[in-house]
Amino acid sequence: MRKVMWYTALLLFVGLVIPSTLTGQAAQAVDEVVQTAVVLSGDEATLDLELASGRSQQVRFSDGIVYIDGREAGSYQPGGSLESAWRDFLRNVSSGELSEALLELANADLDNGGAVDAIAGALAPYMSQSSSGITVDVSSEVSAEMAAEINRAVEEATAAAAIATAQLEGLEEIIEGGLVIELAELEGLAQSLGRVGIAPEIEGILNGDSPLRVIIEADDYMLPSGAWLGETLILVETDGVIAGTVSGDVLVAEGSLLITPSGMIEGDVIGVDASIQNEGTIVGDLRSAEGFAPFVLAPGISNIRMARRGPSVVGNIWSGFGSLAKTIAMYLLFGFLGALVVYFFRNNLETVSDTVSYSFGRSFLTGLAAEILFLPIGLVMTVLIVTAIAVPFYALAFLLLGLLGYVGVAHAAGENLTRRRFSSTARMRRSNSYYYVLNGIGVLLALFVGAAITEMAYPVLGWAHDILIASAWILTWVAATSGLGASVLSRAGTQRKFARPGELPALPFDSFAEDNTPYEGVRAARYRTGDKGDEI
Amino acid sequence: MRSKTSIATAITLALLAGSVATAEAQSWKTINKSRKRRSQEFLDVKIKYAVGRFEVSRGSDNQLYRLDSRYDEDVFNLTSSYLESDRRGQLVIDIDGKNDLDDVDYDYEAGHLRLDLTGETPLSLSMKFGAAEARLDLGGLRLQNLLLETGASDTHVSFSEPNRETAEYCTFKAGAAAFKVEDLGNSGCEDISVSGGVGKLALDFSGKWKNDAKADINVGLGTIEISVPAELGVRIDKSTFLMSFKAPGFEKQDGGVWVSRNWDTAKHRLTVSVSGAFGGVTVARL
Repeated sequence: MRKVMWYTALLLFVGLVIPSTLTGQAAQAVDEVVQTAVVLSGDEATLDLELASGRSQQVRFSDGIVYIDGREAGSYQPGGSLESAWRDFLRNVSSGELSEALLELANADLDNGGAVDAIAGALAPYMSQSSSGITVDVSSEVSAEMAAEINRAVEEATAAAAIATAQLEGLEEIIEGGLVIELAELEGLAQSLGRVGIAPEIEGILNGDSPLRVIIEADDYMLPSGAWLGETLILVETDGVIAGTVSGDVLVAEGSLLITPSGMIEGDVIGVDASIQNEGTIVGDLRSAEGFAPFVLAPGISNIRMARRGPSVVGNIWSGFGSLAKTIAMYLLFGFLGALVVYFFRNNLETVSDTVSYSFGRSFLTGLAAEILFLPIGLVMTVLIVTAIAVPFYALAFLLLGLLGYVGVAHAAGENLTRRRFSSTARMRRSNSYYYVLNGIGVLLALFVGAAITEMAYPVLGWAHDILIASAWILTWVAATSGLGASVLSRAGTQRKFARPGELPALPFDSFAEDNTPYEGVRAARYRTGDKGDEI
Repeated sequence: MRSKTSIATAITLALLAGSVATAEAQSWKTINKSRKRRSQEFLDVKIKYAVGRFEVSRGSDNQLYRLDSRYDEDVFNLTSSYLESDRRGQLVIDIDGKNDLDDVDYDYEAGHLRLDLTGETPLSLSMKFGAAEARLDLGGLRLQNLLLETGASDTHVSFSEPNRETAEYCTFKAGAAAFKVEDLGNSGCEDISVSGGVGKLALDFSGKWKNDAKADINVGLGTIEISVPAELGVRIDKSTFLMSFKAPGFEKQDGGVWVSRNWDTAKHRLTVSVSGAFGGVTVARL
């Protein structure tokens, strides 16, 4: 009996009190909080309440300024007592203790009373609601069926309130604050969106060729019942209510949208980090488009961060210099590693170099086979418990063999370059492994340098850049593969089975300093000098 | 020789010191979102999570969902959208790297995502992880179907309470991963599919069975451990290559089929198809 009475009272409340809100101030009474969001980071602490009417209430602490619904409401000292209290409050809100948390905040002994009062005033209408529970607790007083019925009635009344509000305002769009951008055609869309910091990828999810209406950071957007918007509508960081008809698509980014029962969207409705509730009609699809680059709008409209649509001329030059710097860094790194290899393992390196020079095809195929088999062998080792412990060593050995091989290829390239460029006397002066390796790495990275230079003039030489960069990577892969194969064939440079035939033992550099008439095929081998001769 | 060793040691230490010095500070961001359960009749949940710890469980029935996340905002983007139409909601959560994560020095274990879901609204759950440590307790939900894809992750799924719906299908796809599912009998899934690339699959079919089910289990390289309750009738159809197979207590029939002795009398039956290339399969009766 008691349940029935309580149920009746609730229905009376829904039936009598709520309709009165359609014409007056009591609309807030049913503006239920449906979603609570708390964001905490190093420089931001935000509470965002999404209301059933499609509106939202936001309080944000950012960089010393307190914003309420995007407007400055006061200031705070970063790291001070007010910010600490606010962050504590938000943590309590996260735990579902909204009312108690606000009470604590209001009673706290804080310097900045004005900001606190403003916050309390903004949030007070919602403090009687649980931050997480539904309006009627299903488990307590009434049956689930009754509760569902009551909630449904409340929702319908809420939607009716939104419609009535819209009707009272007339048939024009209502936009409070924010920035409105009109675009007559989609052709310049990406560039235009880029200017206001919206990711150009958005272009890809819009279809059709209707003009665009972009609303950015408005406090509220409303299209009343009976109104017609013949454009594609984009709401960015804006909460909207649509009770009328939109002929194009609607995109909502970092905001919320309520489509009331009289609302109709003739295109698609797309949400990006958004909350969309449809009680009307969507002719197209309702879908989300996650995974796009973030929007980069700053807190205030005046602070919109400009995003570059595409690389400018200066940008291309900078980008080219960046690539050049990376290539130089790579040269220095490999030069350093190559010098280490020469210093510690010169004999092994020379054997690998000779192997790749004289058995290039065999080395390449062996390297290719090693690359293909690397993963399966590793997996088998992983599965077999006994060998699992050796997997890191296996990977390290593969890496070191690859490095030895790449440096060996550089050595061979440098040696061949020296042999072709200089006369025998000059060649001998340059015949040491450090010289070979540093020159060889330069040869292997030369295409990257060319690619970096052409990148600076990408609009004109883009085709050349693309060809050069592709060629550079192919050359790098071929060098690494054949070097790896040579390392494997020569057992890390310990066996000369596939190296130069008729090899002479290494002799000191000075022994050959005056020898200008050696047998050509053997001469280069004789330049493999002793420890003293190679050091620089 | 001694001097070379000293130089090598010094270079190694210098490189290590350099790598430590390049570790960058991280900008942590926490996001908590909760939405009231109102009159939604269905919720479609889609989650894509790059790296970090990931947890899903049943939360307060008054909340449709509750999301708690902590991540490095310099490295990752989090977007979450909630769309509702005709009392059918869709929740899409996406945490993905801003750049190539291979180039980032990042403490992957420090980031997390926790999602609590209502036990009152029927759900479809679709989740995709990268390299994550995932703990999912899907017990007590109203799960109508489930799709779970993991990359290189340590994933532990359990159904601590019976599913309050009959699930049409439960599909698990594991890459190179340690993958464990407990109390699958509580899942209420009629069609279970588990596939793994490389790694260890441990599937426990305990729980309160309320329907017959079939399970397709496939692994490329690794071990499969299957546990089935004694009262469940089980038939195993094996199609493997270079895989050991142990099923004590089962009767072998023609065509690579093993059947539990209670197959004809059991109240509920599970038909399992096992296929794989390398490794081993063990079936244990509980």
